[in-house]
Amino acid sequence: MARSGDLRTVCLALAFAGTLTPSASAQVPVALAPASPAERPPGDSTLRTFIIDKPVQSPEASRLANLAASAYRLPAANDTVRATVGLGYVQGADWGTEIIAGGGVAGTQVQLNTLITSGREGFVLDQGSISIFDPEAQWRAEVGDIFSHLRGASRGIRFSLPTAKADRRPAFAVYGPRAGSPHRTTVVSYRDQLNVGEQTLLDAEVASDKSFLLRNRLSSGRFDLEAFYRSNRSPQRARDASVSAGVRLWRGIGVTGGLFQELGSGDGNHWRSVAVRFPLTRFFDLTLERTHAGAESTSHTSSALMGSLIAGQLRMFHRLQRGEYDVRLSNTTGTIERQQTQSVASYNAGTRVNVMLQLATQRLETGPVQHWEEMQTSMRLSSTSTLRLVHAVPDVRDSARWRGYFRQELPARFALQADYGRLSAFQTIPNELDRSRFKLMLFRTWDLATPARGGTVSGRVLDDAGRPVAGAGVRLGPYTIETDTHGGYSFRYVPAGAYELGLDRNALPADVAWDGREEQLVLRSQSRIAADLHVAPLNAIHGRVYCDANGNDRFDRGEGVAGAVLHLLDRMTVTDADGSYTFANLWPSPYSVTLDAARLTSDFAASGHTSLSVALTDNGPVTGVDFRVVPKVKPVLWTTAGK
Amino acid sequence: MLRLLTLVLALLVSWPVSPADAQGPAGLTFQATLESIKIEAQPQQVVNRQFRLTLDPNQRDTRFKAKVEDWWRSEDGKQSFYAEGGSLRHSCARWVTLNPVEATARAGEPLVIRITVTVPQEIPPSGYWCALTVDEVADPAAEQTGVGVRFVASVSTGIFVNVGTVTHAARIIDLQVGQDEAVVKVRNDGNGPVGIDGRLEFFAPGSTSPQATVVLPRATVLTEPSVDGSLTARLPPPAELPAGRYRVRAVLDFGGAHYLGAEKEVDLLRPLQVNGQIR
Repeated sequence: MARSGDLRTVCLALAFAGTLTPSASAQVPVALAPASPAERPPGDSTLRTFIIDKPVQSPEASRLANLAASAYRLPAANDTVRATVGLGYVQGADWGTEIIAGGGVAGTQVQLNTLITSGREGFVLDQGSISIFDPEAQWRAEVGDIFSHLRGASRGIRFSLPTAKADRRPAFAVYGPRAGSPHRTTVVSYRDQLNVGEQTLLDAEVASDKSFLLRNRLSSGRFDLEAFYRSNRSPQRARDASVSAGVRLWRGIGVTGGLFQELGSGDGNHWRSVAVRFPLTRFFDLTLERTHAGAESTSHTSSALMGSLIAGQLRMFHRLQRGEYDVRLSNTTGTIERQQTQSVASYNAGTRVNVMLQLATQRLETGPVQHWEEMQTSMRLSSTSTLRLVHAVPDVRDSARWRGYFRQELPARFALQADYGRLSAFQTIPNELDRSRFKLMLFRTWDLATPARGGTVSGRVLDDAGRPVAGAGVRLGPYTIETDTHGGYSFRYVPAGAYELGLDRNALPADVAWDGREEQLVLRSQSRIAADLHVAPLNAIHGRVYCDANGNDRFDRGEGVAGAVLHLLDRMTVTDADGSYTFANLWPSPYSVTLDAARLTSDFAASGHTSLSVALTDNGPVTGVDFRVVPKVKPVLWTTAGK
Repeated sequence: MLRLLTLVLALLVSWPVSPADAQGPAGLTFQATLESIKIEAQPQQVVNRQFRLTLDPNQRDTRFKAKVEDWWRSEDGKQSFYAEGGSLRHSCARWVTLNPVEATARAGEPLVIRITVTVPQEIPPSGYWCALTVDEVADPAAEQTGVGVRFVASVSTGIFVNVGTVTHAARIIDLQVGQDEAVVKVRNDGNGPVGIDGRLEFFAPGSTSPQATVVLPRATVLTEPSVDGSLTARLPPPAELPAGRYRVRAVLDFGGAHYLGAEKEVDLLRPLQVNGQIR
């Protein structure tokens, strides 16, 4: 039966989209037509056809577009390391090259930083470090410039690995002499960190030169405490101790304080400090600080008042400090009063412009007053250009105070970076060169594919009869994939962790159902897990409601009863114009189909059974579940005339 | 009978449908994603898609029934025909299963119909198609009261399955310009349906820039029962495109590697306009 003339034509015409977007037609070029209209002889009413070339999407672009359109998400088959290499020139100093790399390699996290300079001292590895961390096994290896609580900035090699219970983290290290240092000793150390509960950390390190460190950190809700004692034999002999603590009180009020004391040899440096912070409003807080610091020949005690204000994109900070300095030299002693004020204001105008103004004044009792004013401006001139300027205010002509930075991202992932001003510690530079200079560096960035590491989860999706189910969406945590024509699936390079394996209800074939039971999996990088998933095939019950007009005990064309209501469990349906009905997408199970005799039209009445039992298996649909109705016959009540 | 009662059948992506409803003060309005379902597949492949329909929040709960049927279009593009799945040689209706087939949509909640296309194992490479139709049906549990005319909604979308290598090829076979409309006839020389759109340009004699450009609404040209189809567009008003002799150029995009072009000289007659009214 065909029909015509309904409004669905509009829908289908507009719904079909070819391989190009509709807007493509608006960009059709006409210049490539074989002849322009002006060249045509007049009176030419024959149809001339031609073709016009158009840009063709490359196969790679098609592949990427298909990939982007895919709803499936798989673990990355490769890790990536981003490497940036810079080659630079420093005016009056040296050439230098800088290599920065970071990313994943075979499941580990790798960081590399090196700076190599060439100058009067020849090639110098000014700084360099490699760090490798395995997030699964939690081991860490570091080579090059490493920081040690015992020795500070050091150069060496260190390896640490947590114990099985993860409550301790032993580390072994070898510290070598730094370049240019008079101390040439190599030191071996053992460090151990012990977690006691979740609040206490005990940390100790002992070295082959008899240096040692004890450190303790306690965190308990509102209270933090850290203390250490260190005894160093090399590179310099030193002993010191420190305690610091902080407590958070009511409504954000906090008290912090600490003390430090250099013991034994040295200048006897020491300091003590206590501060109280009052958050007066959401935008403004006030801090009071009292500090005492000193050494063998000097000491000072000062009080400071600090306030900070945050109002939208405007941030302001003001510090007022007043104190007395005691000087004790061999032939003289004295006290100097010093007063300092410092103000910093910064304004962030969107993501493109940031302006910061710093003002500082220091006044000594003896008369000298020092002022310092500086303005820093950062601007993103375009999506690829960044400019930063630092200069004195209001007089910007002081060239010694000028610093500038400009970075331009270039095509092919190059970037050009220019600096002017007093350079930070780029390399060891003699004092006479410590002046404003120009530095130019060209950077190039690469993303390098590296091997990935991870477990594998694979299996098949089967129905209750053991038949493979193709096209079923399988979900493993955040990852999804679709089964192949054999019902198989495989997730590779799955990062270690706990996952739920199940099916994606929205990506199941329409003729199967899943009970929603997920499988809990714990994967390690070497795991190879096989897991099959099961679904139930859905089937249908087909039948008719008909009136056997010719009495042949079967349905014939034209005998269907439309509008009859049938029930199956909580489902309900109505027969079509030909009397047919379908209960679709049913689990394999016994069912009972019932004809709602009370809702038959007034022309028909139920005949015989109004309920049929159906055993639906996973082998296919059940047909012929038919109900027969009979026409209602109205009796004629006869009357005899004349009686 | 139900088909005769079907009045409103179409809506675009995010277009609400508001058919009149004799039984209520307001018509049924809903949102449905009507982008046709396009699948590139190989024999034996199983592909799942979804159709979503969401009743507007102020609507009553409504029962819908989904089915898959064959569909084709008249050569002039003005009429559509529907038939039981499998009527056409290139029908994919019998490959499609739906779940649910019949369900009640709650106001404001999406009704999601899962569509699974299972491509048979032995099927020649070609483009196959059918239509998914979702009809509003009467609630069987509702009491029938009185006698009246009931208007029900229906919505259809195309399912196009390209199996194996499908060649997209088409050519323009005719270009006719009438008083108020233009028709471009196209023949599908490939082995799968093509969606075609484009434009008409009217050049005055001696001019290299068009005096008027008319966008041709998108149309689908099938491979069965006819390989010919038409794109029809109304002409701009006579004030913009007066009567006269023109070179008419058609530029069509059928999704292939190149565009199709055709041109011819025509003597354009325009309807008489009196006080802005076309007579």
